[in-house]
Amino acid sequence: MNLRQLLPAALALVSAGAYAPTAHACGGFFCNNSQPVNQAAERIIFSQNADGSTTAVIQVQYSGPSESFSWMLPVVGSPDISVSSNAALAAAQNASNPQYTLTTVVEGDCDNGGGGILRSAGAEDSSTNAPPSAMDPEVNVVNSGSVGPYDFVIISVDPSASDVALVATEWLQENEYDVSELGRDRLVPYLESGMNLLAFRLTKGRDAGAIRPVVLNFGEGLPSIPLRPTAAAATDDMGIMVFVVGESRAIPANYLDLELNEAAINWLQPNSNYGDVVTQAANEAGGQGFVTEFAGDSSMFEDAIYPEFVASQWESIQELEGFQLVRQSAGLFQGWDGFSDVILAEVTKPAEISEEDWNANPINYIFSAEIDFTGLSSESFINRVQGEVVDPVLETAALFAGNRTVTRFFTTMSPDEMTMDPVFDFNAELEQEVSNLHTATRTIECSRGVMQQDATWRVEFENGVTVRGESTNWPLADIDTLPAMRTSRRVGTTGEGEIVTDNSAQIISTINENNRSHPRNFGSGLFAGGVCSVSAVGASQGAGSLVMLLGLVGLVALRRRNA
Amino acid sequence: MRIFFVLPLMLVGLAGCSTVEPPISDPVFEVGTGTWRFEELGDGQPVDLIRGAQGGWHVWVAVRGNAVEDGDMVIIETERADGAGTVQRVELQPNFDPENNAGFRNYLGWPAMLDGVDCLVGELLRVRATLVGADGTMMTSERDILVMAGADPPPACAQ
Repeated sequence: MNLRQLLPAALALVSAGAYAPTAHACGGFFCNNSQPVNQAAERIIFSQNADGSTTAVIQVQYSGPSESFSWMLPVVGSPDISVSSNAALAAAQNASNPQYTLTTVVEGDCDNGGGGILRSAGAEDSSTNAPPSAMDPEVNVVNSGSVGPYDFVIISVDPSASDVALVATEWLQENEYDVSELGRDRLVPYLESGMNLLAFRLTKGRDAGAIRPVVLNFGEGLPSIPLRPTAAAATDDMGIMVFVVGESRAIPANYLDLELNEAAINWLQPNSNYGDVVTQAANEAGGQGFVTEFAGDSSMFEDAIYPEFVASQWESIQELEGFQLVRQSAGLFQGWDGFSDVILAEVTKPAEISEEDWNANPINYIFSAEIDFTGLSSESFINRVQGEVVDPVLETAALFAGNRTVTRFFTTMSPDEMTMDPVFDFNAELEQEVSNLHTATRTIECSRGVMQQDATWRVEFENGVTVRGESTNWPLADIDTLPAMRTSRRVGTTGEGEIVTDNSAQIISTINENNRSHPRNFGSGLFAGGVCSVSAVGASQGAGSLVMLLGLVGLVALRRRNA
Repeated sequence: MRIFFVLPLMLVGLAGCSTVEPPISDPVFEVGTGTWRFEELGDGQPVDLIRGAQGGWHVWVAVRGNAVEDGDMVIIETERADGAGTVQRVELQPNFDPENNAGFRNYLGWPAMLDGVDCLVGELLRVRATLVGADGTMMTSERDILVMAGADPPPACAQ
């Protein structure tokens, strides 16, 4: 496999204060933010079908010369192959991104104003190349053809060959599948067990921009990701996002199930370090664990992937002809895989545009150039759009139909961690819903003599933990100082599983230490210190008030004794 | 009174000097099965084939040890117990789980793919795991398991 993976982008206070003035409006500073994290990752959908078979939609990320692109997958037999659309996978991701909502409240009055409560892929089969020839008696071509922008071949290798991986890779190289950088040894276990190799390359004349997700329909069995061959060309901390659709919540059968330490996420800018927190958590778990980011009903994904308004607009557009048909279709589908190919196939190139420019971005000229639409066949155009652009998205949306359960997993892995293929199974006894919505409340502690942007604040999480900080800095963003993983556990197909690592105590200890370093600033040089600012969990304002009162009583008693 | 308090202190001091370190338990390395917890295996114990969606069948293999360290290598081999067929072998550098309450570190959920699985149902499969320490010391554990068809059985043996 000669696959270049894009690097993944990176996806509270001590309570017990004695001072509790009325909350005011935010006044424009430190306002609520509700931010989804949108991490880059290789995305995969596994859907268990009603007949027990599994459909996999696999996104391929690649940057490099198109002639060097190849992608391989060990399979048994000859699965059905088609293409999907990056738009479908992007929609599934957007519908379930973790979202961090910080509700901001301002206590008291700062010098610059008070605050308030604020609430933040259709299969072509038009082979233009001659089918690959087996020639080597140890290699059998099981199937070959073209689908979307790809040529593909499925080969089987005689398991008794002296070096099965060498035989396979040499054959593929000879048949113009560039697998020169593949770690051959990683293929050995699959080939020796009798599995076939499915290999893809870009059809001649297609560029890397045409790469779109591949759909494979397998037989019955547990979804699994063949990570070991991927390691040969993966980059460090590669994002892997998996959607598993089935009758109940999915679990990583042989990987750890990770729970993140929410305090490690920068709630002020969650997109800035979410991916890093996941990477750190996965590393703390030995490199083989998944975070469950979402679990819930699958129906909303179907509409998110192919919304009703798109279906309605497309239906209306099909009543049009000529330039209206093309331009309005472009307005709806220009970001969808395959639409450029339809334009190239159905629309006459403007005379003043070069062949190279037209091929590179035909949609760009639909709205700007003088195009002769008189020769356009509306029926042919509509059929192509339906078959090559819309149907792949519809078919992916259909994988989520039927009010089943979708579980979304995310992790990052480096090549040296890709030593075991993750397998997914189902557990109907676990809590079936995992929300992607995370909320916390931040209280800005205003006082006279303190500017709001410099004021201390406390963030209180739903689990009772409080983190203190000040200004616009998240004090725990330096995640080397505390675990990114709260717990890891192993989960089977029944029961709650078993905790393997629990970092809760260390997390609380680190938060307490942080909170001691961010005492409340009452302005005029007065700070709340000592016991009032210490506890990260469960301390109430009432308890803090009692401590302060006792302190004052003690002070009065001491002065009377000395008098 | 003072002598009374001194003597017990001297005795305590002498008692500390004679403290003996408890013996280290013998190192143990064992092959078993399981994905989310280690399951012991006995010779002849039935184990289901697990079918993967991409096709192919495997059995879950797990290992545990009380003297394993990060960086140790584990070699997993499977072959028919009667010696027919080939040995399938894989070398791993596993990330063992942290030590559990029983003093073991587990490596769970290895999908050991099998050759000729259609003719393995009802047969004994030898599963052998070898731990190779950084200093070259080796410990081996093996079990002969009875391969069962499982929920999604392979095609019938053609032989």
